[in-house]
Amino acid sequence: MSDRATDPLPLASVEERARDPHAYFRARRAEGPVQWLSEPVPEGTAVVVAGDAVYRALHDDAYTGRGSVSYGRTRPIIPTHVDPPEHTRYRRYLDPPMKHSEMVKLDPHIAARANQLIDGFLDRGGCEFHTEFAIPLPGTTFLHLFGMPEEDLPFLVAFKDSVMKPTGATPEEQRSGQEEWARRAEEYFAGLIARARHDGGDHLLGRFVTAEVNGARLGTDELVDICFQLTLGGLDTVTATLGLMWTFLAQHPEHRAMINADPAMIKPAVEELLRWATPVTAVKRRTTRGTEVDGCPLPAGQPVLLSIFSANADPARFPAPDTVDFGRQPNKHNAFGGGIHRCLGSHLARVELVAALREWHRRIPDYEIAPGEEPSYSDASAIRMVSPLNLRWSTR
Amino acid sequence: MRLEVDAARCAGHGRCYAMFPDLFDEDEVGHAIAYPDELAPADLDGARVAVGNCPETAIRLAP
Repeated sequence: MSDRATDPLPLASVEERARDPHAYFRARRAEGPVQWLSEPVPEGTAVVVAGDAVYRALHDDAYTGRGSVSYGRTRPIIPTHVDPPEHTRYRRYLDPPMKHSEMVKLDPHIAARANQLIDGFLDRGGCEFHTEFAIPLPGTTFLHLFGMPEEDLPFLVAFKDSVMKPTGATPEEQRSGQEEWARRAEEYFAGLIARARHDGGDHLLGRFVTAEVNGARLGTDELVDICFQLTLGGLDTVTATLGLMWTFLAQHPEHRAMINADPAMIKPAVEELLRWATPVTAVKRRTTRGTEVDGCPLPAGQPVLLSIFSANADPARFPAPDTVDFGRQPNKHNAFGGGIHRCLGSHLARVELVAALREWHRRIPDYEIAPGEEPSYSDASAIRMVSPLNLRWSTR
Repeated sequence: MRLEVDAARCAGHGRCYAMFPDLFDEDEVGHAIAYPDELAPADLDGARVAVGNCPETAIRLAP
């Protein structure tokens, strides 16, 4: 364990972490339960890597989401950046329309959209998976669900990328770019909210503007904070998950064969691949008071990353964690986090992933990574992605 | 044996009711409810899987 708060993470380690996070976090756990990293997160951020410690911290009110990240904003994003009792009140508005029984109703829509995308490249015998499937499938599903026009997807993807992975020569330039995009998105969301209040509509935003909890409706600022968070979540995480799943399946014909032989294998495969790949690799918190992790003291106000990836890959929690075993039982993973901040979109994500695997393998049961190509991994903003991912299959 | 869900721990992952709709239901916010019936012998294995999978350690088998 390092006792310095500012040891930079060498670039080679960043690349290793994205490419082979199982090996990377195995080495980190061997060094100690807490690491201090300065890149790519703010200096002095503590990273909890011991699996049981991550699990406990997810359920410990010594850690708060409040004030963790700003994405170029002055207001919090809701609900991640708020604590109970406000958090509990917001989830009372947000959870009912996003619960499991509501999300499964989207299955036919998602299946039709997946088939439309597959129609576009099936006869070509290959595709660039990230831009031709992994971005548009969850992207257009989210817009349809939320009540946003489909033609706004490029704007929303640009917004998401600009606030989550800011570019610019200096930190000041990055900051001003983030702020500019955050402001444009806030104006856009305020316009959508005004329209939903006027027109209603059978979509999430229509339900959010009319929902009442204890006789009260959400205000415009709160709704903008919610739209901001849900758009970031809805456009990035399932894209990342699809890329990681298809990279694995393209390289492992024996696992693909299990899905092709028995569609009932898809749901356990989704859970195991969520655990093994853990696309959202960490969640950000800040300590509300002085605390300790397995004997390592953390002061009050300490920025902390809880490594969900490491928790899902810790042999103390999962035997043979590097092995993808669709029959793994029990499979008590925390790919959607845990405690009060459990991913609001988890039920949507599962319906999307199951529909995508089912429809794709029905039509393209066998495929491989295009010869001579290596999958290109990144894990900026604690989301692990593969792009580009060139796949190839036989058309005979 | 019966299944019990600790409402204070459940965070609405839905692993239990999605996999075992005969043993659990979702409430209005998507948190889990265990059906109160005595478990049939044929349901015991599934019940144990649900207990083991719960990401919040919120489910238990009660005598």
